Amino acid sequence: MRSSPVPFLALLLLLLAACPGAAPAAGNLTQNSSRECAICHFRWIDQFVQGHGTALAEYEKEDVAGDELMCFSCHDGSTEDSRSKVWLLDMHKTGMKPSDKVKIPKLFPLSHDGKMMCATCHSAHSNPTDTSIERSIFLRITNNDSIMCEMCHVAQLPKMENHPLHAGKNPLPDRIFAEGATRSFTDPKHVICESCHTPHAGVEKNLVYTMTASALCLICHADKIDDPAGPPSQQVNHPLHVEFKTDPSREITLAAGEKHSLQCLSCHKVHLHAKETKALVAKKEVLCGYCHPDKENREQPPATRANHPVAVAFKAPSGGDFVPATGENNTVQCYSCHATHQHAPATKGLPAPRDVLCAGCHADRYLVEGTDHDFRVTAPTDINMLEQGSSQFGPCVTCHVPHKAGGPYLWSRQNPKAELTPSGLCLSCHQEKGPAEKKGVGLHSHPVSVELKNVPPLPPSLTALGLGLPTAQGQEADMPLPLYVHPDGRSLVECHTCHDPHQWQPGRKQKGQGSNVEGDGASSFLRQQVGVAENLCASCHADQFLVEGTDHDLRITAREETNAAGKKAGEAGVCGACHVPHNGQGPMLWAKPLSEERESHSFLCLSCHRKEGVAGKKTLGEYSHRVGTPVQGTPNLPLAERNKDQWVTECATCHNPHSWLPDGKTRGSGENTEGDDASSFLRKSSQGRAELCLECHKQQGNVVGTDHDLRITAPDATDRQGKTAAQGSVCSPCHAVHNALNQGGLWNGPVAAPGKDFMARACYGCHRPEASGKDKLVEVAGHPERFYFGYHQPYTISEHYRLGDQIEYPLFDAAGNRTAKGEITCPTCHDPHIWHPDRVEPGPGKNVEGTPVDSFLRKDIRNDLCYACHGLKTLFLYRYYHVDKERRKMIGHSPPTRSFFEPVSK
Amino acid sequence: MRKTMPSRKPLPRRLLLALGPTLLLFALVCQAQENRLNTIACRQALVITDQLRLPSDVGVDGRGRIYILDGTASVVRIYDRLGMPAGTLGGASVLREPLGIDVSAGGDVLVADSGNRRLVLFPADHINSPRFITIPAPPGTPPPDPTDAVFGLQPGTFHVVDNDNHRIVTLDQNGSLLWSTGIMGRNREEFRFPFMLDLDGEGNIYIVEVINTRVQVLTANGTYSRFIGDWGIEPGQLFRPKGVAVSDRNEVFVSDSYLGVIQVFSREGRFLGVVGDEDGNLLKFTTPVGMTLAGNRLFLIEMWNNRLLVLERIAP
Repeated sequence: MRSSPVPFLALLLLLLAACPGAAPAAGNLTQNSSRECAICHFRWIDQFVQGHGTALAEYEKEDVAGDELMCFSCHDGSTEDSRSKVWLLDMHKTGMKPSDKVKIPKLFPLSHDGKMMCATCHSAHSNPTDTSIERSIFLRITNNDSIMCEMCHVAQLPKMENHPLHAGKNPLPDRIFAEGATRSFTDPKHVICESCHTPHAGVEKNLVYTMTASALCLICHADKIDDPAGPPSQQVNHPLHVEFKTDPSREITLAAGEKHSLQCLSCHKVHLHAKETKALVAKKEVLCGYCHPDKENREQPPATRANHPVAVAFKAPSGGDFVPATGENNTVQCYSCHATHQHAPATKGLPAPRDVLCAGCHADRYLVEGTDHDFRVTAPTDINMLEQGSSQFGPCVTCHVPHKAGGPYLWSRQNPKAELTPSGLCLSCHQEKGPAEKKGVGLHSHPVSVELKNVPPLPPSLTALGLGLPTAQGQEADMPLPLYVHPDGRSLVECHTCHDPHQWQPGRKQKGQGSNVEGDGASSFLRQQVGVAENLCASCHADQFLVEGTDHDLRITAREETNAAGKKAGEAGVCGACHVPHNGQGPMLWAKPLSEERESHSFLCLSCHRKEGVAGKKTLGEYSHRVGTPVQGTPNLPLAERNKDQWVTECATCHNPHSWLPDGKTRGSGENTEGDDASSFLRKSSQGRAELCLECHKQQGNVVGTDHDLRITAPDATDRQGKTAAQGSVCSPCHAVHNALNQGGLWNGPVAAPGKDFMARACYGCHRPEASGKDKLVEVAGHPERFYFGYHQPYTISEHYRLGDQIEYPLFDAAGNRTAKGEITCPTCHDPHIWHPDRVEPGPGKNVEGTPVDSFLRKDIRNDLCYACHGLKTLFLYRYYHVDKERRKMIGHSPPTRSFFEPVSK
Repeated sequence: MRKTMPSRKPLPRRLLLALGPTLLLFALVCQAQENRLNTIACRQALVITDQLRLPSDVGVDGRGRIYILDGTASVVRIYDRLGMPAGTLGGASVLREPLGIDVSAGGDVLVADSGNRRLVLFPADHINSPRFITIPAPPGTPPPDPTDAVFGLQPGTFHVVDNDNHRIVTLDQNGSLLWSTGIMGRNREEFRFPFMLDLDGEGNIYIVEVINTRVQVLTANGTYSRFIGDWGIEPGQLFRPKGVAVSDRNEVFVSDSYLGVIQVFSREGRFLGVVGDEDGNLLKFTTPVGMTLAGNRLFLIEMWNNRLLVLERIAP
């Protein structure tokens, strides 16, 4: 059997056909279904189906028909429909696993490894019902109103807030469709996903048509941007496209455009914002601070804050021209005063003109309008530290700015005099060369920034009048006289304690007249009237208000008397006759003209209590109790500190010029009253035991109850004014504080005839035969004053005893003044206030016969003083001069003549 | 008397017995040759990335300056021969999403301004004064959709790919239509999404058809000449051809954007090899698209990688 050659030839042909370059594989095409499918279904190519690859293509085991590169291999511009979509710029993410923010329905397949691919949304075989190629070609389902988008992205919608969808009041602008937006199939007013986004050919991030310079947002929200070149009157939105920087301490950094410029999306978040943020990237209570941290200073103590407080509770007005928005718990927030969009033109983002805004919450402060503190009235060209003038911004800016303030109270004045003290703020104007220079406070002005302390409680008679101090701590806004609570906790008196700089007239909630007005006690921004009623002064100085109705109330005693301001007592009021709060003539805010100023405040009293003064009938006389002299001990009386630790007396030591009676409780009677030792503004009574005098003169107080207490031994004896001892005090028979006969001892008793030193005359004024001390006469002689018994140095006693020695024997000059070098006279040996030198105590209250060891003799007088000069002759001399019987036994000179006891001249 | 010849086996049988092993050996050799892919050895000479975003085509002038068509940015970016930026042409006011570019040796730049559906000529002597050349479209047809254009051999003429109309048109310098060839189809003088084109030294036009997966060659007057390539993934076959460039040696380089290879054919269509490295390994690219040749250099756009590769051919 012959085998046929056909199989071999066929094999040969087959092999030849398999050789490379055997024949060009080209020619006219016929439709080849397998090839048409494999255009996309690469995996279906024969070689792969057979399980191997080629020299050009590795074996492909997965179906890559919907892979990105497969689709892109046609939609890369080489087909017309891809040119403005796939090839051009951004496209929906593929090649990645869906995040947990989206939920992919099973209708939309993922790749074999669970990643997004083109075929997730597209299929070349689907959606035959949609006739619009632009809308539906190759999409797996119709995407009318972007429902296909929402099917994957819907999972997030209920949880978070998004830009409103399927809603809208007005048709979307044509411009957004020109940018590429897709119209809603349902309603042209509706916003859909594809109003802003496109799955292909998005120009910017997140597949939006265009977001350059926030353009996409502004197509619909055109009213949210202003023409930066436009006039201020057209600027009603927060500036956009301006350079900004997020405070690095914040939780997030705000998105920025080119050159760190502000964009809509810097503040806003279109998707996935929390419900309470209202499309903002952060809570609106804090968002502003991300870029404006200098406007917040939440952490700083109130006194140093340069900005209006935020996050503090406030009470918003219920009506009016402007009602601010409140934050949580009725707190003031940035947006209470600011509107980011559609704010009042030419304002710093304010929803209303600045003054209207301020007045909304601070209506009582806005009473300043039209007053002298409205600089539009009094200083229209003035500008504050931020170079803002009241003419442009209203009256508030003159003194306050909500941000970048220079001190407490949001102060805006330049160069406050006292940093951080409210009064310093006032004085920044009320000072030399300040805009209120004519209303300066002068050198002597009521102290400010001082703490109220050591103020005695008021008697009920005054508290019943409504007087009294404001509460020092925790005072409320409606307190009549507010204090300033310093950061260190002290409550201080400041200018605004007495003045309300916003209200011209106390008690009248009215704005000013719009013209410069000269103030008086019923206006001048006082919190209470002065002159008519004195509640303003008396609220703090209620104890001084006891002066009302006394002789020191010049409305009663000298109604026509004028003060330095030219105001009569009747006009100036009870306080104003002597004191003015500002521009005083001297210390103590003295209102009376003073020709000179002295260290001692007692000279203020003398401005009236002098012969030519309004109190000319109540002068001190030639000899009066000294003032300015140091006081030993600690009397319960006010002293003045002259030098360090040196306390001296003043008029006010004994007198309280504001209280007629020492009780400190009683106001005046309203009539001119003649005073006595129990009134006369004395701090304590000087009647009877003379408590007032004894406060300082305790040692001398031991005279009480001794033979020198004339109330006991000579109650009918009279002083120079004819007042008996019984009518006066233990002191008054001998001494007078004012109008005394002599400065030495302020002697007010009878005196002997001239010829002796004054102290001897004073003693002999009583110790003479006709006087109350007639039973205790010096019958022989006194101690000689000159050479005697060969003593050629009569004053040598000073060489043995000096001031400050433990045992002191005083010397006096002829005028009765105690001196370091002087004569030996009666008080040298006698202390007229102490009966027994070894028992320093008051007397027994009855007339006692003396002995050589008491009788007001000074302690150890004989041993220390007498023996110092006379030695062994002491006893002899004593007997000679003091005991007539002994003298007669002796041989010596004649005793003093009787002329020594000549009558007393009164 | 007739001499009886000895009995012999029939010749065909013996012949076949003798040829069989030979042919089998020959087939095995051929198979081995096939597995050992012929490569055109090249090495990378330059990469330009800059700020390119989905570039599509490239041209080179006589001075070696490189013109990259960065179509999504609507500009032509110019670089010197070392790859240093040397300026731009166009811009959004001139170009809109252009896809194809050709540069003459003298520096004239011709851009297929796809988005604006026109040609833009940047004359070398007035490079900043572009000329706009409108492409006429027959009544009732879609608007012209130029995706590539080249200078014709005859001065003042341009050959243009009208992608969406599936035709090739030739215009004079005034935009007048000289001839037009093509409708949508699979046969001769029919196209499915022609994309890019190039000329050989004789003026023949080589047009890449993306969906027909071939290069159709027309003569200078627009008549069919031949096809190069066929659908498939074997060497010499095309899967997603995009760019074409004809060398001075009359070699036809065809880029395949999905397979990521550059295959080389003879002018007649014979597969010569594929671009490889110095070791004879196949070089793979990511979405190679537009190409041009200048001397021994191949300028290749990798669209997805947003860059230009310059490959230098290693002799021969």
